[in-house]
Amino acid sequence: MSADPIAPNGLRGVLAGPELRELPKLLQPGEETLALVQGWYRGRPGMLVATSARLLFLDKGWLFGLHFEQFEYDRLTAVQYDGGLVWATIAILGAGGEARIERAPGDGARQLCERVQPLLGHAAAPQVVAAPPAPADGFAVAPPQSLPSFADVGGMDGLKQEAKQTLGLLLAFPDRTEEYRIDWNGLLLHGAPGSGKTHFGRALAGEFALGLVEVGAAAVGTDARKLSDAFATAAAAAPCVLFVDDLAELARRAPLVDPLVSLLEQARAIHGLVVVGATSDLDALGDELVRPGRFDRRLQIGLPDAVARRAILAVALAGRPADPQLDLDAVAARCDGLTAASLLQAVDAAALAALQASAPVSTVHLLGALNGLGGAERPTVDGWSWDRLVLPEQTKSELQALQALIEDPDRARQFGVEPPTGALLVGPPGTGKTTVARVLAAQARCSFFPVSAADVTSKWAGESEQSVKRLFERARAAAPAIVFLDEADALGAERGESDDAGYDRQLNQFLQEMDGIGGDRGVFVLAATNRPDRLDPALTRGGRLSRTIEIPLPDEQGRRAMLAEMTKPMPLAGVDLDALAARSDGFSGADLHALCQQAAVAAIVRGSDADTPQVLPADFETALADLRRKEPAPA
Amino acid sequence: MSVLLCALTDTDAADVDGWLARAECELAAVAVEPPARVVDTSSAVLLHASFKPGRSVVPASLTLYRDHGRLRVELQGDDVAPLESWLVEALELTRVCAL
Repeated sequence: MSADPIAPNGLRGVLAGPELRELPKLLQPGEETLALVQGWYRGRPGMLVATSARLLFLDKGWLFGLHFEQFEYDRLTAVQYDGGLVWATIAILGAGGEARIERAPGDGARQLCERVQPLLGHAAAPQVVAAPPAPADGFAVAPPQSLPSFADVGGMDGLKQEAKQTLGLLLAFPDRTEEYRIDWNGLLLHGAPGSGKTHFGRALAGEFALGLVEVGAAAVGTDARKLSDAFATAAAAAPCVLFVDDLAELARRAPLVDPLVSLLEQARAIHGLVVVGATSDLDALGDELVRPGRFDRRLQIGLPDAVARRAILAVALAGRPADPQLDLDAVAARCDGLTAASLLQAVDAAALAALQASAPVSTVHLLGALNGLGGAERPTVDGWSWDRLVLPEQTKSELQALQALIEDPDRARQFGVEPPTGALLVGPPGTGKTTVARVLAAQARCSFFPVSAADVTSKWAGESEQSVKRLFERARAAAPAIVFLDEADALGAERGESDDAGYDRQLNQFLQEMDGIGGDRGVFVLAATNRPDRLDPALTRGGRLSRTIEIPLPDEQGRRAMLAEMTKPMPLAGVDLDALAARSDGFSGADLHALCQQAAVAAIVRGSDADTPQVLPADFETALADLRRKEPAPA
Repeated sequence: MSVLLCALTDTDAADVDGWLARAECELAAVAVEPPARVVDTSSAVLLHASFKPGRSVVPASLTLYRDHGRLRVELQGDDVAPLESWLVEALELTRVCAL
């Protein structure tokens, strides 16, 4: 074997400079140069040098004595030779993907084949396998050793099991597959953005030691040939996973639909080619893509439960300095409704905070990062506590139990109870239902989306349903979240009562969204009304606003506490709050608030002889009389 | 290139790690490039090795499907039948089919 580098594609002249003479210095004793050709690695053009032991990549920098990279030899695959043209994959590189010899013309091809032949194990000259396929532009086969495996996927145990029972079985028993006439090859992953579809697709390939070709809308554009290239690359590398990302987006591009369907059909006949599609919008896929015979198995990647969240956090924290006291269970319980991507984002943010503090990542860092998720646009209601509410103890403890379920729904499941996805606050006007909702959101550390019928109702056909849809999309994106529907009887009155068909559609959309969150946690719906009798029964049935909490008018003790709180900043003089509480039976919190405000106004109007302003019992009498004059005495 | 699907004996299928350790020793004794586990997951193990049964070096990829006790043997080269036979015998495999 000659130690002289061969430049089979006529580059001898180009490389005749002093740089080429440097090449032998890179070689180990006994290592021989077998081939030197133009090639690409990680999208960079340069020279690939196949030696008897390894592959070197020399980019243009090296040609000027600046730079070279060396990769471990992994394996050689195939050479296709066709009357003067050669197209070969000469090496699969450990971590970087595929490097390939592109078309090498004329005698150079023959020389190259001869030189590469020993590495390929051919006893004779390389055979003509087929006409050389056009090199797939931009699609590389990632070797399985560069991919994650199921061990790198937190949670998703059901999906892993399903994959083992289908793909694992079919890979190990191709003979039986034929016997049973099973030509299954398609798998469709669907789930919310950030739920981990791409990571799972990669891990699927790594787990079963398959190569991986990834193709998505961005790489394809509207060029069907690129789609075809991706399938061809994967087919040539079979057994291999072809991961088709953004399937819904591809399906929206008219020039791609027919070729895609046709390629999916053809793929079924290629043994070892596993097509895995991914989409976050199953509804956007046309019938031609989801009908039987395309993707035979659909796997939904839902939001991770507490066990899965813990596993995801553990995987994301692996290898980072972490506090031994870090309570992953507590953190996992705190982030219900978050996607895998959000959890990873939180771990990154926590690691950054820990780095800034020169400390290991702790529970505090993680909880802080979780609170910061969603950025400044996330609507939160900080600073509202249960102390702000004067409620009967029983009502308060019922609400606090609800808070616990919103914060950690998995806890309810541990007790065999399906956690509620919504609740209805019922009570007379002015009893503080909105305040209760705000306190719940603040205490459960949820984003808060207050909405009334007026916010989402439009006179334009279809607009109201879209508003409801967008509201829930925003809430899901900012999960964990509470959607608070005030005056629910306006939006949720019984269907069929209104002449406006748009009203029924709007409520239907609302019900649909509520059903959606049953399996897609992270959004809790809280509705308030003083007319529960007017609500459509579908709203309050199980799985929707299944729990009703009554927010009653305050009793005398409650009124006393409210008056004390409301008059705290007022300069009272001789006002008997006990007596006032006794005389204000039937007043709501809002009524009491109005009473105190009116009394203060009366004091201002009255003027004061004293040096300091004072609110006197007479001012409250005036306010009481004034209030009773304006409206009928509260019941 | 030849691709062969083989089955482990029932005993070996019940203890794939034991079989793997044995197989690696057997292969190392004759390989020009000793076997390396390039992938080792809960479902599959991918071994790469190279042999020189004649004049040429033959790269081999062996994929073991752990849960099913089956092995995919991929040999890159012509006239690899003797090597194939040796592998089947040395690793106590049963041929299932050629792929």
